[in-house]
Amino acid sequence: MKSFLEKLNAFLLLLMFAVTLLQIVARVILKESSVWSEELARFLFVWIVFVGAAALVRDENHIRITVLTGRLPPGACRALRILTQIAMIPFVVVFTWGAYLNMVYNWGVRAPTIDWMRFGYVYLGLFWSGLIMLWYVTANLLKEVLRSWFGHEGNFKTRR
Amino acid sequence: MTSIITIGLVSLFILGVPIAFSLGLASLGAYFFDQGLGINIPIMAQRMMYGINNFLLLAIPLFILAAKLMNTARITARIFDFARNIVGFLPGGLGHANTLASLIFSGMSGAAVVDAAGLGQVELKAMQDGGYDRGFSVAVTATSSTIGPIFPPSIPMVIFGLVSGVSVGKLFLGGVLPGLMMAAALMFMVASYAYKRRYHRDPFPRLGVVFKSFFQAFLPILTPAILLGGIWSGFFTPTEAAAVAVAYALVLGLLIYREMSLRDLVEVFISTAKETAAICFIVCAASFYGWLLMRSGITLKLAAAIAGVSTEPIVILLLMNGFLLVIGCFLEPVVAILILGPVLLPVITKIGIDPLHFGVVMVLNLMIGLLTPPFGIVLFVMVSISELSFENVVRVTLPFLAPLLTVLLLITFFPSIVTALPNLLIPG
Repeated sequence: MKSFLEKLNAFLLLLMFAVTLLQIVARVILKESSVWSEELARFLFVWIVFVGAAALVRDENHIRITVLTGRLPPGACRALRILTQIAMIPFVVVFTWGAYLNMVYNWGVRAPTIDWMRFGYVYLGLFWSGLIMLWYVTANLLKEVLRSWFGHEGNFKTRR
Repeated sequence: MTSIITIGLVSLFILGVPIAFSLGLASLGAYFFDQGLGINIPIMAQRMMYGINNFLLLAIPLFILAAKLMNTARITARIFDFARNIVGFLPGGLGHANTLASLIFSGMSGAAVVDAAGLGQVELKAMQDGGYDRGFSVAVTATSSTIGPIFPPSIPMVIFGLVSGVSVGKLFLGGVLPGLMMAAALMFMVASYAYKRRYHRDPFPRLGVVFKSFFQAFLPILTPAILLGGIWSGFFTPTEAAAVAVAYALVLGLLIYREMSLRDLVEVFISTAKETAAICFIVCAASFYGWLLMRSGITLKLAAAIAGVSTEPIVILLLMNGFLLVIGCFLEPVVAILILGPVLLPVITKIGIDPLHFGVVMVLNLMIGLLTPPFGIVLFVMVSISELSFENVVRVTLPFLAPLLTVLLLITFFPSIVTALPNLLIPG
């Protein structure tokens, strides 16, 4: 799934770039400013960020400060890793829940300049991102707990 | 509430919870403490969405993309060759070439880490082949990469513009003179080392060679002119300029120099999307945090408290410098701007310091932080590309902070170094 998300995001990035470029071309060469392009590019950007952020959770590639993690004995380090995964859960839950509510409220709300676009679709990106994060955080947590209980990862394959 | 956020943030950071999630969780905790069970669940997701639903921020992925494309298409190598031919004959020639190449490249890239990791590799290799000792090479490469986000374009300046409302075009132009001064100060440093250690110099280049390398690097060297000229003349916005830079890099890499394959291209897009998500998800979480701070009115109280200490702008600025230098040792520049911007800006405006001036001063402070232990990211990049130990990288880089600190003091004391150019070119 992670590889799919990454490719999807690369494609969205390409689209976003193309739309932004089109906006300049339209204005400078065709002398016609397109109002919809800026909005579409922004929505693509929102998707890139949230979907990308979800993909980063799996391999724990989010930016973090690693002052403690590298310097503790293995046992304490493992406990710390479990603790950090648990700490992420309340935030992800409230985020996903909020994204869901926003999605429902805004499902029919039209974007000002794009006919077929609804604000709900933008929040769909957030909601989807939240669900993936929840999945990855839980999986990482379970993996870590199993490893410390049984000394190995049970049925979870090592993915690193 | 302030104490919950501060203690929460610091402890989550130290525990190693990712920055974005720490910001979100600490803010959520404070919000919950304030409102009890009556908290408005959708508000956080909403703030996070609005935090990045901003056309200005699209410049971040686009500038990262442009710089990566230039690295992949070996355009950075052309720039370095050109710089070497121009200043290589000076004592410590490759050190000067290193600085000049970084200055030129900073005109198309906006993040120090991209400069250090891409161009830095070219520079290090050339200096090692040229017989310079590794420590000196690493120090020059590391420090010169921090010119990137001072000289326009600049991702930290885009973020500062977002937080402060100062025009990004003006912030970009405000970085031009300080960027040039940094390059000059570093070259002075290189020259003094070269004199002491009797570094050899390249032979004076024949005119034909200079012209040849100039033509080979001519199109890339044009990039900063296109970007700055476009922004200055109002032809395009900073974000659009970033898209132009990407298009230009694509044309150079795929059509003119043909040093980039389609496979490389996919790699670059994937890694750019990843980095974008990593940075901008922090922007999302920080915007919820910023909204919470704003709502509580803490920042205004803090502003009043600091204004009570002194109303002398220069005293306040020096205090801020000290504070930011320390913070810069621990936080990534973009993160520091997002977290501290909403707190410090009311202080700045209350005391009557030009936010445009403060923006450039703040970014330079944080750039120096990239070169200081324990969390200087550029130092880590240097460790990974040079095979020196972290301790060694720190030791050799330390003396090179002096020229940067000198420039920092100069622009702190003389605001017009920053503000003159933007106010001249973009009145009002």
